[in-house]
Amino acid sequence: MSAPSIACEGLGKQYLIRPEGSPDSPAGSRSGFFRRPSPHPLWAVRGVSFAVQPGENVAILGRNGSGKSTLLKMLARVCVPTEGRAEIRGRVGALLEVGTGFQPDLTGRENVYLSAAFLGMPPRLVRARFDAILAFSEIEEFIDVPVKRYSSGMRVRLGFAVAAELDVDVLLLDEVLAVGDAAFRQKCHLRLRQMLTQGRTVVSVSHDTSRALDIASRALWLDHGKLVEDGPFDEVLQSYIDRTGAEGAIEALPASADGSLRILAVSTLDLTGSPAEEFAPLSPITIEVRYFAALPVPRPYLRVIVSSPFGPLQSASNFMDGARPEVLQGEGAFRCTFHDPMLLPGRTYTVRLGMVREDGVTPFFPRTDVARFVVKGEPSDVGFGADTARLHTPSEPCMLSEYSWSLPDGTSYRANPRDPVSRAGTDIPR
Amino acid sequence: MTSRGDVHSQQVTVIEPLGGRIWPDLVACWRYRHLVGMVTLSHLRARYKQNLLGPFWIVLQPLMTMVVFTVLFGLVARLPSGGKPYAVFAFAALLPWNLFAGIVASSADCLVTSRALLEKVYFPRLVLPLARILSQLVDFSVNLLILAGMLVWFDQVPGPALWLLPGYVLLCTALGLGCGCLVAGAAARHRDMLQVVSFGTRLWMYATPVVYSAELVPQTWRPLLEWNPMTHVVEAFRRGFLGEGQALSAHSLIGCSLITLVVLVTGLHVFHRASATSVDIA
Repeated sequence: MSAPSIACEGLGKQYLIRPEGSPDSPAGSRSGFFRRPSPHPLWAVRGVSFAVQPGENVAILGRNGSGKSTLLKMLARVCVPTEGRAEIRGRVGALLEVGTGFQPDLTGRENVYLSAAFLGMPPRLVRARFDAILAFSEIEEFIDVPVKRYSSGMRVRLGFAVAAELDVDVLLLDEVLAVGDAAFRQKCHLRLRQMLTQGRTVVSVSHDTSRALDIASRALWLDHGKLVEDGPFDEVLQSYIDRTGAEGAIEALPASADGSLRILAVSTLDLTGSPAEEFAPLSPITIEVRYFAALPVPRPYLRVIVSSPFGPLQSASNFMDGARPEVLQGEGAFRCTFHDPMLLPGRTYTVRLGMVREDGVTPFFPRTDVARFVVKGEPSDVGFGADTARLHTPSEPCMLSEYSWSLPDGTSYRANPRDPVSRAGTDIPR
Repeated sequence: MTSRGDVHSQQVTVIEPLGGRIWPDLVACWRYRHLVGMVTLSHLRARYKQNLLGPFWIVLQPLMTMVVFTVLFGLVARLPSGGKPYAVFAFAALLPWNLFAGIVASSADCLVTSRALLEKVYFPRLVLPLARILSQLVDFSVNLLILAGMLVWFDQVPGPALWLLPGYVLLCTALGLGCGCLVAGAAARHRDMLQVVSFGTRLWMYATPVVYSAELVPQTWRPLLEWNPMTHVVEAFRRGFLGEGQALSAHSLIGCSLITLVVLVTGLHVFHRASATSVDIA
């Protein structure tokens, strides 16, 4: 392949953290006139090596504080690495935050020229592209208004439009598109795809894995500043979810602010009523919540939600079914069974609990993740027999449904998760 | 779209731990010259846009200072002004001094005030003090016109040394940039440096023959006077515009140029280091 557009060799960034909340300073700098407690070093990123080819779209995954943003900042040359080396070929555009580098007192128009100058671009090149930028941003009527009067969405629009239209070869994005509205995000994604086919490179950081999913082809997973995995997006996401799902234990069970209502234990039960964390595909899942109510709780609303990393999937809610308990008092338990959970196997699911007072408005506690469970099995267990099924499991939505295809060549296909045996392998187009 | 394909021929950005050389900074500034121009413009604009008197501030400040000095030192203290009207005598010296002090003061806080920008975009950090120099030079030029007007008003004839002035403006600018960069580097870490600067430049002004004539300085203090680069600048302005001023020894001028060079190079080094690490300091 051609020369990589980004090549990183053992990149690392060390911060010296000083106790007592005094300013933390980078490695190698001398302390001031007065002696301060000796700082302890913290490597935000260390030993990260990878190469990105032109036209690749790479997402950096990782939990908060894993060094994603630091890595991106080093690539954007906003902060200087402590060790290692990286090379980037071509013009680098970075959108590290909303309204990157905009001067609030200048108008949108002036800021477009300023942003171009930050890319080392002369005004005459911008003039030729200005109309395209304006059209992309869709904020024509505000272009001569100072940017300080812009909403954050408008800033992102303008910022992205500048980066998209000004011929950057490498685009670094940190969580920026989350601010725009859905239509604009869609437009940005289309534009990104177009840029990728033109051989430009995109590196993005996203805390929301479903967002990255739309565009990224490859993922780097950072954990505690180290590169844990580098590979096709779906594979990395799968192991990321597996690991963080396992690691991300339920922290604390919720209780009302005054302590009168406490959740003592939450367990997931299988068909036989015994506690289980792994379930067979399509088998009923019962969630048992043990509580203690120091004061009688009259007619509360209960709500149990099953969600995937991409969002909520199913709920059992008293707001919908009206089946509220008369009173919760002392120690007790309630159970909620999903008899026919149409969930994709091979994924981890989360149970969220919400409880609202009699008035239907005041929650006892914020909705909280109270349990996790895994639906074991293969995609073929629910009728998905294609050889790409396994690889793509992480990027498909988790809810199953019976559906059918009618294809232009006259063939049809019916997917029935409930009846996989008779179907699997039979009607699947070669 | 035609230029898209040749990715190979494009610039390669190298990201490395902080090195000691400042030459690449200067080269990068040339590549980013459009940015210098734009930052300068936005400075000038921001400085005067939301003010009642707007651009009049450029001339108002030095003029008021001159009036105060004329009343205080010319009329009350009756300092000798070499037979020239004190107002022109003082203004001719205030002009380069304000340029110097303005550069120092405005570059000193550039890393602190532009922090939000430094955290988000890359550009050669030296652009910030350079843009401030340019906007100070704009002020300086406007005040140069005022001085010309004053010369006509007071019926003064410029001396033959006038053509030397660009060199002295360069000396003054270089010294200002050097000092400004030194302070900017220190201020990124210790904010109280900014107070030290405003106090320090004021002291320096009184150590420079701005409000008084260099003749007044006793012989024993002369070396101190001569080894201050700003003395040379100020006296050169008086010689140039009024044909009056102290002739200072040539070897002290060479010495002062060397001092300026050392301050400039040290300043650029300190700034180079501080600008790279200032983002990391909370």
